[in-house]
Amino acid sequence: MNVQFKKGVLTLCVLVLAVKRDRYGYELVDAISEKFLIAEGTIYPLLRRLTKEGYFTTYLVESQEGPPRKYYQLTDEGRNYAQGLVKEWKSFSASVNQLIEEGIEDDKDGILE
Amino acid sequence: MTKMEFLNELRSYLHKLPVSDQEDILSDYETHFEHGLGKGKTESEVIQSLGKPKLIAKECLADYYIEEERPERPSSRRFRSTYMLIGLGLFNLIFLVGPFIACIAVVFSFYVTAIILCMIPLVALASFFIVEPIEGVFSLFVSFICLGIGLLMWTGLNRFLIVVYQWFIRYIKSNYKIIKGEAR
Repeated sequence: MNVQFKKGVLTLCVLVLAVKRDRYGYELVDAISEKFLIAEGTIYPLLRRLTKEGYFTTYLVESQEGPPRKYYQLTDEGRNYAQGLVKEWKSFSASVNQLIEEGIEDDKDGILE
Repeated sequence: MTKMEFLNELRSYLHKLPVSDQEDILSDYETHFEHGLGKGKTESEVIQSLGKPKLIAKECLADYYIEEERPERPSSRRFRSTYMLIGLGLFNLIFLVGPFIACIAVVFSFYVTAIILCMIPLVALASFFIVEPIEGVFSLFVSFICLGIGLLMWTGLNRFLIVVYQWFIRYIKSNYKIIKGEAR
């Protein structure tokens, strides 16, 4: 997959995961790598960038059973950004889906089945 | 590769970053290892799924450069506009001051010529009364021709000077624009 494209999608995933509740780094990595294959290490730079751009704030929570957890909390700006990206994604994926549907309809040899 | 090797390699790629940023980044990965190991993964499994340190470092550095570029721009622009100013100044000094002075000198000398030509009838008139009248009539006619040429030269020079002046102003303005355009 195109690197830039993947990065964009990764940003979207991270933001969306943090909408419902604050997440800590490992949790985010886990949740995403469960769904698709990525170099997990690239999520941390992404989180740093989003934090620096003001979409996240972070706080540390000591944990009884494991290492301290760095939680990422969406700011208002981050929420708006996530909203915008989701909207963009929806219209984009709808367009792609439509193209695929059309492709399947025209596909008489059943290549796309 | 072990955890320590992974972290050391990552650190070596990050040496351009401020130390505090390096520590921040490395502590993220250290924590990641601890989480992973806590979940029963081996070091090499965690490393496998993290990806290459070089790739991670590239991401970190890319973000760093994007961030750094912003404050750096105005000063580099200012530097460039100063550079332009010096460059243009030198260019003007070497290639344009000479021709400009030559042009002014030529115009000036033509003006002097025109003034002298206009003054010839006075001399001719004096010689007509003082020296020989017969020769004086001839020289009087010649002197009127000189006056005509002198007056034509004068008006021609005035027009030429206006055009040169306009060129000069336009050139100065274009110089100014180049420097200011760079400084914007």
